[in-house]
Amino acid sequence: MLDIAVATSGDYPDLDEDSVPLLDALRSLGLRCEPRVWDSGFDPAAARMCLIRSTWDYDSRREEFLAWARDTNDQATLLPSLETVIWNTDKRYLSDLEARGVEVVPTVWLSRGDRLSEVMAARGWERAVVKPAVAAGSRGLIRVGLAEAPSAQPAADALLERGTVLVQPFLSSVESDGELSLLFADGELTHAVRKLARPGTSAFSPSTGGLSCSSSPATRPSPRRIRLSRLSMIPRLWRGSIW
Amino acid sequence: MTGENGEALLIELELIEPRLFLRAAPDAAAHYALAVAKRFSLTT
Repeated sequence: MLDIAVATSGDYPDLDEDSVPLLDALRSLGLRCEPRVWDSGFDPAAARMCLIRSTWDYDSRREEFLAWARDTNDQATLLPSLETVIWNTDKRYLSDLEARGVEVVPTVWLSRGDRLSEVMAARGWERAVVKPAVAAGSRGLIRVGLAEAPSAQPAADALLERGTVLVQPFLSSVESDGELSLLFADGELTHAVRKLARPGTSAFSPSTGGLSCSSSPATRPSPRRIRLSRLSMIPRLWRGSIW
Repeated sequence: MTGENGEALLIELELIEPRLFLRAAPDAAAHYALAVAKRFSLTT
């Protein structure tokens, strides 16, 4: 029996490049670990723990993924916890975090019949991002300017047919400062990475190719900045997740 | 993300399958492995 089955997707049967160092580090601790594709011959009884890593294809079939997670959780220790998996695979978690005092990017939850142009104009948003609530990476993301909002409406409506959709302002800082990823392990901030969209691209997902990264001591935000934004409370809220 | 007034805003919280950028930080993989091992020893 394995100690840890590291769950991945069929696109990354040997894990993604980012996860290989983690697998090596786990093995160096004496743990028997192997990658396993979650939806292809996965046997939850064959490992004591299942660590979810590169399951980036769950978003088009979330219910199937959650059923797999429940089944796995019945037979092994699931990490992150089942509750975390259910909660974090739908971006409506942003509302929960906001209710707990975390400062989140302003978010409007689109309803059937809502006009993008009216949503944006009412908030003074010249540019916005429309995205499905269940999405891995930047899949399904639509970037829209106020003037083009009417022509983007059919695409937004199509997303809405498939599930919950959110609209957020496109922050100008994205182009100058990029997006800062804060990485936590067991509640502790381990490192920070600044992600910058390359010219001509609008998103950070590695699948778009629009990503460049830097990590240095200067990238790391000050503890005061983290405290003021109340981001530091997040790892304490969800101890069920190691991240 | 940085908001229009310079404030830090959360745009996403990835707990399921985050990119960890482990190659960008030399000690990070060991940190994460220890966290997983700790949970392993506590729960199995």
